[in-house]
Amino acid sequence: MTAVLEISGLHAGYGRIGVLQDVGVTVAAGEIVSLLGPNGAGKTTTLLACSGMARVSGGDIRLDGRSLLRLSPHAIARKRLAHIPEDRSLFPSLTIDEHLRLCAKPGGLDVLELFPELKKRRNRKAGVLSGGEQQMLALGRALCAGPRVLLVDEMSMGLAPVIVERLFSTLREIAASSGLAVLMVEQHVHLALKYAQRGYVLGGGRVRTEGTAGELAERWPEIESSYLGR
Amino acid sequence: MAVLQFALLGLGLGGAYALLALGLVTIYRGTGVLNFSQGAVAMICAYVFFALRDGLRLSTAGAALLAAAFAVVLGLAFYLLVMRQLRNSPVLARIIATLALLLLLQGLAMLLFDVQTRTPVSVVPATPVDLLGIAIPMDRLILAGVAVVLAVALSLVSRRTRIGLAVRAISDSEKGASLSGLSPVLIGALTWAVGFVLAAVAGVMLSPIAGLDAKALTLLVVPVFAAALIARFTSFGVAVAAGLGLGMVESALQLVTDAEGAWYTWLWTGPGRSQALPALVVIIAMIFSGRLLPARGEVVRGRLPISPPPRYRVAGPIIALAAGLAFIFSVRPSWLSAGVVTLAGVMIALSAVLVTGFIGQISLAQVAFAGTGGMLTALLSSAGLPFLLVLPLSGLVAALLGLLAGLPSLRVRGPSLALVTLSAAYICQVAVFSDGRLLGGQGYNRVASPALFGLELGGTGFAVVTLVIVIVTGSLVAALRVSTFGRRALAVRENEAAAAAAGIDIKRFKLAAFTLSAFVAGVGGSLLGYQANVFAFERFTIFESLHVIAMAYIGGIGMVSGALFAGLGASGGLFSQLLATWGADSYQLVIAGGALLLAVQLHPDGMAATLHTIRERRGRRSSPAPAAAPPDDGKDRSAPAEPSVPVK
Repeated sequence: MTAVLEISGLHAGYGRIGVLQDVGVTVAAGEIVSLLGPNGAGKTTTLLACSGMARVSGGDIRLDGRSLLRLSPHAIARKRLAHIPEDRSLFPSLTIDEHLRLCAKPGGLDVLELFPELKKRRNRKAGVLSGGEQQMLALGRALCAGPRVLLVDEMSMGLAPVIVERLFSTLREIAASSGLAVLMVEQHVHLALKYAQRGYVLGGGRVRTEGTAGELAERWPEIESSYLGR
Repeated sequence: MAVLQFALLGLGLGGAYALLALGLVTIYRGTGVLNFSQGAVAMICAYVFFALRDGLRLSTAGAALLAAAFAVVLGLAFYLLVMRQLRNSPVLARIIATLALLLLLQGLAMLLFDVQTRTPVSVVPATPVDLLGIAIPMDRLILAGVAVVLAVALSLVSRRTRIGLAVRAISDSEKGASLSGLSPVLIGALTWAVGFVLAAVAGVMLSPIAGLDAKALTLLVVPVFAAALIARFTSFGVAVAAGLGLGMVESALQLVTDAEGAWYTWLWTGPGRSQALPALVVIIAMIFSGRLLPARGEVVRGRLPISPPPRYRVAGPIIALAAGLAFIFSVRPSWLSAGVVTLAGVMIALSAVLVTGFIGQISLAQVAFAGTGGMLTALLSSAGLPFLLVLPLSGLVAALLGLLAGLPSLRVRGPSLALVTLSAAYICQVAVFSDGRLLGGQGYNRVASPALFGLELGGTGFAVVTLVIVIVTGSLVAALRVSTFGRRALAVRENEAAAAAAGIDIKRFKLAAFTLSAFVAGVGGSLLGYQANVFAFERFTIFESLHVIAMAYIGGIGMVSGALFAGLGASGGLFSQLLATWGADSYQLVIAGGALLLAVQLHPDGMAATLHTIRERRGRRSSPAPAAAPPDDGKDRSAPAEPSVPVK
């Protein structure tokens, strides 16, 4: 399996503050990989570094073998790397339709097929949608551009469990069928290990351990006590 | 019928308002910046156009093309070189940058062009046409028509095209737009270029109607802000309607305000009354609608300039006193009076430190408070009241005005408050300070020479008294910063909701800060009056207000040292005097504007803040126990919950 996204020896941070040290993560086509770890471990920073929004001071980030370093966020987005940040960063005064019109690219998915509930509200502004609908739109906005890699930060935050399961299973189907590589940050360990094939445990800005979802689930009590300080 | 005629004649002015407002809205949508230099851009482009057409005898089309190109280059350069770099800077830094451009353009106009007010020949036919039985020059109708057509075009682009969608998306969430592959730089640059071209059209078409005048065109920004506000900085259609409406009403009002009436008609008749109307609209609209400006999710909640506790609270005043006395007793009279102007400037800037630095309320009305103090000084001193009584009384009346001006701050914050206070200052300037009927004397009133205990203070004596007053005030302001009041003020500044939750009465705090700061400014204005032996209205214009706040900001608006810097740069102060001795006074505005642009780039938190950071870092390095090395295990480590992400 060849890696679509390849992060190697990454040092990154904000301003003068360094957060990540020597982080290495790979994601293959069709694979869902989960980043786990306590608050402040560097999970979000890893994603932000990939999309050009954190300062990278060492190492490399490659998409299909080509480095993304020194590209600005919009240029990275055009290389088909999509990023759904924690705050979703939707455009509250644009309607669902306008979001899709603005972001859709040839080869992208038909979002209204994927989430029929958005179809009914296609002329509503994003600002008035429910949390679940907003997350669907965020996912839809990312997918309609036909990305090679999707970064998802805390998709489950503030959402009902039913909706979360729905979003994750949709994501898994798409990854399996289209070869999309997904790197996600998830606080809920059982969710993360249920939907991901592999995972990395981060702590203090370093990768502490990694493995398949099954291995990590099995070793979880040990991981918690030795890396997460519980 | 006369009313209708005046209203229709106002279509020209209204059309210019509308065009400028369209530009403001475009720029705000694209980059979230309130461009205070919109009027100045119209002004400089008009000068360029008429210099090309009438000076170099170019054809109208050629001159128009070159002027438009000039506007585009100016807009692109200002955005890419200045505003883009300031995207994560405090709101005030970005306002200051546009103010700096305003000063720079004004200075350039005065240097490069003949700025005697003149009325150039119109670009379009001005032959009268019959409208509803009234003869209206055609150029006014064309100007209004151009505004309407451009508004329709902009609305269509904004709703129908991908570029329009992208601009709206960026004004909602710059981060989201970047992540969706839209380039904020490209779109920002585009909106600034379009905004400046709109300003150029307004300037070129309005000058033949209202006259080509560097100051008047720059001041257009006040009514234009009124129109843009009514449009909530989003709707092009409303902006144009509001602009045209304001222009017509303002023009029709001349009928009322020019009439001589009984004494009680003072309030609405007399100079500047019709001009004050748009400013009044801004204030009322803001107060009644609370937060009119749509908050830009990430950008508005920016950092605030730092306000460290003062370092030299004992040594500072002593050194200042010694240096001041040495200066006073060693220089020639021209330098002495410049020194006193600087001291009065420090006083006014201290008032800005109180209200803007400590409690975070951006006030552009500080010089208006000073003007109120100065006016009262003229009144009271000529009535024979002694200096020591006039000074606090002038301060008190200014404080009353400050209390009044503080009321909007209870509902309005950030850049919107800057607009409200600017409007209040504008009203003072056009309708109060220059209204000769108040004190007689057409805006110039004698101030009696200051005397202390029956002894007339000479220039030197007055300078010493002023020095002492300013040093005492500075020390008190520094003491206030480290007092409970100061700590609570900073809490209000950082987060109003949290401060309220911690039991701080925000309303009382804001009003107290405004009142106190207006008192200080009023005393400063009074000192200026005594210094010149005259109250002169042109020393208290909104340009001076902008100048003071900009200088104080660069010096460090959260600190007493910032006020010192502002005083040195005050017009007529020591810096001006220095330029005058070099024979370079005509360059003052250009230098001030250029230096401000540079300083705000290099020190977005103010120069004193940069020094403070350097000192802190050096202190940390030299301290024996290094600040705990970053823990390796990631245990008790609280990383920034929401990292402030610089979006490229």
